[in-house]
Amino acid sequence: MTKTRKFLIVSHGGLARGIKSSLEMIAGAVDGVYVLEAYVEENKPIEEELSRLFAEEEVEWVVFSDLLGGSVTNQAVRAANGRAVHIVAGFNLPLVIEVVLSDPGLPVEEILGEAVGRAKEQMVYVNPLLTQPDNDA
Amino acid sequence: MLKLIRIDDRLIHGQVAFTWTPALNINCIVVANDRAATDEFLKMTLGLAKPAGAKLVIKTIRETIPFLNDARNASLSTLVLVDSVKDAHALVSGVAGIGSINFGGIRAKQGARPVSKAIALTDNDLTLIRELLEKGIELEVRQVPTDKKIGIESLLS
Repeated sequence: MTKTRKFLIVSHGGLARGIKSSLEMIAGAVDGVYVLEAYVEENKPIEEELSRLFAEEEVEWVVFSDLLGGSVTNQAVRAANGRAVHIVAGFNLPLVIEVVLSDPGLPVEEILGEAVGRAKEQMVYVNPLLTQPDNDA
Repeated sequence: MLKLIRIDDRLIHGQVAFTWTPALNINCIVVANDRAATDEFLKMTLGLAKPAGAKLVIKTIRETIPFLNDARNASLSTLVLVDSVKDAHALVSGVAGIGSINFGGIRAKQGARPVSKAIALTDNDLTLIRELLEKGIELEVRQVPTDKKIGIESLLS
């Protein structure tokens, strides 16, 4: 049987809930988006909590983690070992929007492969683009 | 040159990769940890977490001692990560010239009491800490380089 796709946003501190709030402002209410914020009140590991989530047999997880090399990503990578979990580190809002709104019938590898490339293009230093319009054309 | 020995049970993570490594111009990170040195999956995740400009060396505590004593490695700007007071103590015993140890993070576990937000110590840790203090080693608590150094002795009552 096919697995249900769910999304998990994990962060150091309050970013995860913040990005979910922004996502809902732009995309409206969305199903299957969960957040986990590490170290907010207690400086304790989140690996067990992640393992518990990832152990759900019927679920294919897409995890957005804040920082490649950060302990949140490291713990997600360890907890995901051998499970149906896809992790993208260094997420931004365009990526989360695109992936959450993507067709659940498409393979997740395909969605993430393309969405990550487009999300990178969304990070742009704007000032150099603010040149005078070209009137010669 | 050995720039910093840090006790941090997360080993390589955000604070290490994004603050300590650039602040100290580190080009070699030594993870001195028996478990990491023998666990291929853990090695892979450490490699993933490694900052781009630094080389990563993962060794057991026993292998780390000759590596740090080897004059050929003196030209490297080295950060050593251990995950326990016990391992830091072992390095001090085996490596010449260690004058200071940074306490970054030791998360709460059974039998440990918190002495600060990021540090929880067992009775055995406290014994080892007293030995290190008696040897005149500076034991300073800082999460990131811009924090003010707090001597661990001031947190122990």
